[in-house]
Amino acid sequence: MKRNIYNITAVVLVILIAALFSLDAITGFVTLGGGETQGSGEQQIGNPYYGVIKGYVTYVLRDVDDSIIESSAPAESIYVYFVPLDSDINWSASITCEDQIFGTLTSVDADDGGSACTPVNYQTPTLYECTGKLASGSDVTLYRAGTSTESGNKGCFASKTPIGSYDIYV
Amino acid sequence: MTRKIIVVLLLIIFLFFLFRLGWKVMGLNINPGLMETGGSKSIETPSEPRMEVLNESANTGTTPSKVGSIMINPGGVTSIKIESGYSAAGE
Repeated sequence: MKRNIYNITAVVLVILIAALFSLDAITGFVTLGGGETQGSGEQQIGNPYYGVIKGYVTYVLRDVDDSIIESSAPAESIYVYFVPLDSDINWSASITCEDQIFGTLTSVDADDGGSACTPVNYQTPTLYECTGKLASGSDVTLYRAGTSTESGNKGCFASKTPIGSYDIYV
Repeated sequence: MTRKIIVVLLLIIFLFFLFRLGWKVMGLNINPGLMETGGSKSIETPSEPRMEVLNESANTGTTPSKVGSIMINPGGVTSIKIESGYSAAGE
């Protein structure tokens, strides 16, 4: 009898441990009673479709030994393109950017505590979905962000971006 | 004697299970470079916080130039620094 209890206990524990490692995201507990309504509250998980890319652009002048001898932030907003990896874009063809990626990014420090950017809100849309042409002539979807021109944030950008691997063009 | 050893082992495994369960429920998924608070129930997917300096672009001013590559992770933040410009030698 005792041996059976030990065996059952061992099996139950193995199942529980296996479930613990296989279940990826327990976000909370809720207890349901018969005939009752129970709110589960807000359950947050990371966005599975988007991430954020942030940073800043600096214009540099280099000496003949490749050392930087002058650097400055862009005076005007410039575009930063995110292109599917290894895509041969025909930049001479027209690029239309009509679709917006909605979402305001709040209190983002684009340079992670550096002196180039200060924490600000990057208002929606932070990114545009564009259609361009490959060198082969077929259509390609790429994304375009714009840098800030605000004082203290010139050249800084942050954009809500679909997950994936991109080449960056400036 | 053998039974006592088995009971102790099962007890240790059970306590480990409770510890891991409590860890997940409290949102303590510790990712590299991220600080999590135990009071929330949020779960962040793995991200790779980093400030990556991308290669200088030989931008001609007419068409965009490639400065590097990046991977966007779900729910994560990726930081980059882009240096764009010309050589003083006029290359």
